Amino acid sequence: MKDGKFLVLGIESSCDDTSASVVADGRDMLSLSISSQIDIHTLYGGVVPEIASRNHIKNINHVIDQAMAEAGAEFDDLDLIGVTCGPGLIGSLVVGVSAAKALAYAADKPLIGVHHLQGHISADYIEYPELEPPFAAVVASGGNTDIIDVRGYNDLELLGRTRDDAAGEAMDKVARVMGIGYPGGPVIDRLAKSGNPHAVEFGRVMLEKGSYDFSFSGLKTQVINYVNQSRMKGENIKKEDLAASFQQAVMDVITEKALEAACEYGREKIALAGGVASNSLLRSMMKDICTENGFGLYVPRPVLCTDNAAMIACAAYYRYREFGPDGLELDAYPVLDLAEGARGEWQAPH
Amino acid sequence: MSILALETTGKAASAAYAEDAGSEIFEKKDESGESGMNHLQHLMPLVSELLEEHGADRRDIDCVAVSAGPGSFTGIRIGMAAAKTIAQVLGAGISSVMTLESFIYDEYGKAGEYLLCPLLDARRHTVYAAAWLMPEKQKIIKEGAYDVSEFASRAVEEGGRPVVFTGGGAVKYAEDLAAYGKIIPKEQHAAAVLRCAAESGIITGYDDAEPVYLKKAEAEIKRKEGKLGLRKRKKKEDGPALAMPPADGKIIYRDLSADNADALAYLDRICFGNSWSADSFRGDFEGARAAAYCGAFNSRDELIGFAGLVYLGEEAEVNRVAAHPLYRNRGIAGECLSRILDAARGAGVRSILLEVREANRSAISLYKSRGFRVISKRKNYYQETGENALIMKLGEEDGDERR
Repeated sequence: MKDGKFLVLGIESSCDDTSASVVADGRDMLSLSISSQIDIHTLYGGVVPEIASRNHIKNINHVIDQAMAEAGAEFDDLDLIGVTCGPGLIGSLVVGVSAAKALAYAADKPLIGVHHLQGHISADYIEYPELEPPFAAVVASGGNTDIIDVRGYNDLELLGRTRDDAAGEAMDKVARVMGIGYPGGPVIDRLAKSGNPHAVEFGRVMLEKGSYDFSFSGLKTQVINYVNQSRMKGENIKKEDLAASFQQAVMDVITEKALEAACEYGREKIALAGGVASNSLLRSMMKDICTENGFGLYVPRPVLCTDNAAMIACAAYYRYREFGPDGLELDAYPVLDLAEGARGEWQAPH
Repeated sequence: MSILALETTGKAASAAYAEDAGSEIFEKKDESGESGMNHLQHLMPLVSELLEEHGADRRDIDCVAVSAGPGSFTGIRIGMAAAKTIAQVLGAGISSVMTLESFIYDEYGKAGEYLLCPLLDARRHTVYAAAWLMPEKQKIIKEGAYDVSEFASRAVEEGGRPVVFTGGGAVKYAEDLAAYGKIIPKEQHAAAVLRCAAESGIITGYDDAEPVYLKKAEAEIKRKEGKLGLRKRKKKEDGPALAMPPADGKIIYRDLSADNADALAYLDRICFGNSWSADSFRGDFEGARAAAYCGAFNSRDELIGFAGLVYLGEEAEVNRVAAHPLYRNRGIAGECLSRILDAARGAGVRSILLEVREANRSAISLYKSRGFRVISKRKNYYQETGENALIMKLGEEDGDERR
């Protein structure tokens, strides 16, 4: 406790960013430190697990120090340590979880694991202090594209997810084929602004009726085939048009499914989260349809859309209030069910 | 000066504690016996129990000694992250010990002069190794990744005294080493790490401790060699393999990538008839479903055998194991299989599954020899023939498959 506030230190290392953050009373972000590896992975055209792990171990303690210093807190002031324990790259998760466990033990503080996606949703709680469940959430990033019915802080139902590529992943791959750089999302977003979204009409894969699942791999293949055919015919493709057409196809599907889910489950609010929530087209499309249909829209600022530890600290706070701490036996779980993870059922009974 | 030591680079995690550099060392080992990957779960409970049993207060720890590697990359990082963070919170120092060096502080029941060579398995007939003149503890071959046989003959030559090999690598390559010296099997453990730290006495701030991998990440090596294939994807690099085997009988094993997809599809058709397309192989190498494929090549660089698996979170599934009909009964498929299993273990996979036709006796015995066991049978699984399939599994004895 510090100044009568409950302090949570959050730690996140599930993919390529190492992050730590101190959050007071669940929603007040006192500090956020993120060490991004984006420059390193740009060399490889994507995240390389072993290299990501090596960088996590280099960065983790420094990032924790920075978060503590920025918050003006001592380890003794902390009331809880929260850490992403899954899903994610195992080698990456292990570094954050091992550090969190050691910290909890050495400082004699309770420890709690957090499901990465529950973390992403919690970014909206930090951005909007008044936001409370229930609402429908869309988490779209390089690793996920999910629609979730948020019934309570720890009562989450996954309504749909991608069956193949995540939205951000498809964007990375398309960007790689187009030769425009990594990560794909921001580059495509930028190029698309001066392109015609209807220059090429790619098919929208909606899957069966009533399904909230996504499939972006087919769309990705359409784009790649289009690029290859154009090259073979010696045609010059306008990158801006291609980026705009592809992006439009991705966001059409996401917005439509988000709206359908909110309607079917009777939610009045829609929250976006994850790296793709920073996409300007998605933001503006969601804003339009939410205004038109009377939904409240919640979108965190870009830094809270990326993988960050503030969202983990927030989720940890609400999980701890309902379920109490996890033990020092906490492990890392590269594959983890959302509803079970939100309840802290790390090892699913068989 | 009270010291806490952590060791997570080998098979069993352990922790050790001593009230002072010269006082009695208490050690606690993870007895759960699982192969390597439960260190994260067990390390801190182990530390907590150890200190409690000996009435030590965590706040009194002055130095955290840690086994810095080489060894399992993930294992190294589990111990290193824990040690650095404990030191950070407690304001303690950290003593980063080379895992190989810790072996010279173990007991070998051997009098007189000898050359001690701790060997840790680095896969593919290589070991992380070094050599010390004993009892002087003078290092004469520095830590590195060496070919087993080359290292052994060098040790004999440069040591000029009887050679003792120890560590997991010595056990694994016992056959190759027998001619060069004696094998005394020992594993790295925290008490030796603590003793090493106490004697070498180099204590730094937690920020200065770094893992010792002795090997670059593979992607890094490939990138520096310009083999990452970001721009061009060469097609048909490996031609078909149908001609009679070259007389030299040489076989070279190496990892396969999407560039080998055409050759894979070709060989697959020869071996299985109902084969997979080059695109389906290519798909295995893409995105989240990343795969490990090992291929065997003859001296004309023709693909003659392979084994492949795909990663499914912490599980992996063996896709295919094949050898060209003209190259069977040479252990090629088995070697490829061993290599991808090693790769999967190295990637932190907890269990590996595969399916096999019930009638395929030779394949089943190959899998059994690599530790797979039958966990279930699926009736009429193969549509074309109506044959049954066996599902086999490696790892996680207790069937504790996590989701």
